[in-house]
Amino acid sequence: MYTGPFSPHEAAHLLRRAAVRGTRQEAEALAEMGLDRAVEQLLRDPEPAPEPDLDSEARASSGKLHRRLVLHWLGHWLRTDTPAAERLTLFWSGHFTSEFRKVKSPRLIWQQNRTLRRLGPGLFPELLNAVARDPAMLVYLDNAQSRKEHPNENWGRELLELFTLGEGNYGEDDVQAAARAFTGWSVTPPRKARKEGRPVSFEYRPRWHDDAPKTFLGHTVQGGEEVLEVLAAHPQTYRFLAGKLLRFYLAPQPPAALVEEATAVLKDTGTYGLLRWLFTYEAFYAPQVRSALVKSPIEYLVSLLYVGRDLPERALGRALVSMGQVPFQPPNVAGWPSGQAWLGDAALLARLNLLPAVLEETSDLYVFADGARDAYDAVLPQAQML
Amino acid sequence: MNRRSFVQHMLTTLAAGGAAPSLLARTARAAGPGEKILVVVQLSGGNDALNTLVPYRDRGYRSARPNLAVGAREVLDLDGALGLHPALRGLAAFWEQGRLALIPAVGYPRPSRSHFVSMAVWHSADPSRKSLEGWLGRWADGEDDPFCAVDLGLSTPLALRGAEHAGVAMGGLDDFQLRLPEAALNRLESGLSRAYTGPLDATRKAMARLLDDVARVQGLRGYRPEAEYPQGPFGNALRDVVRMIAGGLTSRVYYVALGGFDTHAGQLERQPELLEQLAAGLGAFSQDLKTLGRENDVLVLGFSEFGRRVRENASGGTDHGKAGLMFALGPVAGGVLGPGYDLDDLDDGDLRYRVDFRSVYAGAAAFIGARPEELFPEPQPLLRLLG
Repeated sequence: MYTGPFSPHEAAHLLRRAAVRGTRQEAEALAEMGLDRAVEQLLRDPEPAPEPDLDSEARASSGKLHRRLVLHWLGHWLRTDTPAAERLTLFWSGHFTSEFRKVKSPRLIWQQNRTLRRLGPGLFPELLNAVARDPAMLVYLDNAQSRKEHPNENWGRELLELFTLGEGNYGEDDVQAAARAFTGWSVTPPRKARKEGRPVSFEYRPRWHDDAPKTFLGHTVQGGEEVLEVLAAHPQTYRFLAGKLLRFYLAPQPPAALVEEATAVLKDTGTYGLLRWLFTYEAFYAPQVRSALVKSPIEYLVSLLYVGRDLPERALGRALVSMGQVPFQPPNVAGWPSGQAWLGDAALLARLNLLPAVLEETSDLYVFADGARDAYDAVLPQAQML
Repeated sequence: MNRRSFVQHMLTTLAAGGAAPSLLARTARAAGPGEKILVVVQLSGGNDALNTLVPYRDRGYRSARPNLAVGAREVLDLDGALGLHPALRGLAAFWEQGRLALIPAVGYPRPSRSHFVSMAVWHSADPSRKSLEGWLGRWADGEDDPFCAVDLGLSTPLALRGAEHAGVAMGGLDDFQLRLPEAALNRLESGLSRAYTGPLDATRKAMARLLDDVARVQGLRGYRPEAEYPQGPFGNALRDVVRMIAGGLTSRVYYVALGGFDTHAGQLERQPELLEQLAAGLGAFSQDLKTLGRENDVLVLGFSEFGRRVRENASGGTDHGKAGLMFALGPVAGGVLGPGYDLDDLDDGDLRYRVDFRSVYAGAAAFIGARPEELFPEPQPLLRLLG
């Protein structure tokens, strides 16, 4: 439990990590509340995002619709009263990935984003169950087409390797058993959905399902539900996720003992439970932890736009591409890299070249860059960090 | 040593009139005419080897792929048994000239079907996955000049990361300049001389290096390539590589990627598109090198993290497999190298590897004057890759 001072200096650190965006005034207001109330304030239930307009032009290109979704989400992140929910949604969208280029449906991609925002703060099993039935995910990892004659292993493999246990904690036969168990977990055929005027949604197809018993991680299972149950009860799932969450919220290499502690907190109290614990933890306010995380490009842009001028839509889209991170378009199913990987020459150059268009001499960088004195400090190393 | 301190070090050495720093000698000769250059082309996502270099007469191939097999009438026959996918027509001329080497059934022991694990193995050239450095990063560590390797992407891939040096990630040549007001530049300069620790210091180093690299690339933009490159990041990247070579950049290794090969579904539409891009890009690149008189100084080496399952799936695609296809273009021993595919001896439904990829890397490493045994954890027999 953290017992040190909670001045605007500490509050700015908390704001950076929890929500990414902030001003000096906001940091002062949080400090005024005291640590516990400040954390409660930040971790209130997520405000739902408004619905994006995806219909106004019948023939908008898919690139245009993608850009519209990106702006819609970042706009919400900049305006909402619960920005911490948006940073967590970014975390989950880098975990339960789906690529726009493959899913192709802006509606399904947005639906997934809504699910991650709504269930992301809670207990993991509920989120996992929703994602396993999420149409964008079923399309993205090809499970929508997986049938008993030729089970498609894409979802089964990534479920184990990237979403729950992590590599090295299962065998090839577990992947194949999972793939068989999930055969028949599909979606409404798009044409049928259009004809009947309803959205593409989860659809179970018993005739595609392989109903023979399978051995999965030592358990006998039949369907996908049971695979999810085994994974949701597995301690390694929480260890894997707790480590990833601490790398996202605390430091690039969290100590193993801390990960163990976080594992139990995550399992019992869900993701916001873990964050509540972390944000009131001694180690979270240690000097070596401040400015120890590299802002991802999305985080950099949100924190910068919050205290600067708006950018034209096209410039914003280009900035994200050249800094190397576009929402709804991770480089692959493993999600985005982190840390110094964001700071290759090309990406760093794009970050710096963005500044003159956004900042004014009077911009308030108190939260944007630790210890900033004026707007020119945006070029210092700490401006790249959370 | 980072670039900044390294430049400072060089200046002090010169000022003190010390012995000629080896750096000057090596930089001066680097990548000039006659100097050898390696261009690595990564096909990301797991390119389906069997539909790239097609064993079109093989019964096992045809029966495993009732919907996806490339037929005898479509392939560009090479030797009566193997043929190129028709989308690779642009590479046929290189085959005729003996400038294209195709190496089927390439892989490594205890293969992984995970994109990330397998990619890490190919990048580090270490199947035991203990190494945190890339095979070319280890080479870069032994060079005096950290600008010896350039990646045409936004972040340096593992392959180019060494313990001391990492290749330069340069999105594109034209955008590679800093546009900040004077006051901001001054603040940046002064900020970089401050003392930081931990991750913040790593960030300071990244920024210092950026400034040096930007300065280095000024003046390379003059050359206008003549050939037509396919639209998109892959074509643009190859075009920039030619410009850097023509401009005399000292880099000896370039790294370029073409993504989208993870064809679990709809492979018949997607893969040919990508192969066509590949062939068009490499065709244009070779044409420009020829114009520059450098076609025998540049070796292109292509790989993918794995090949795909022999049997097609029910989604019109193929799942992750094991052994895959490598290719090399340039002054190579043209032809199909190694023992070839064996579809009668599969490893859990996948091609079994019959050539260790490190024995191909070894040839490419030798081309740029590196000693393979210094780059890989285990020395490998050399596949005769070069002509």
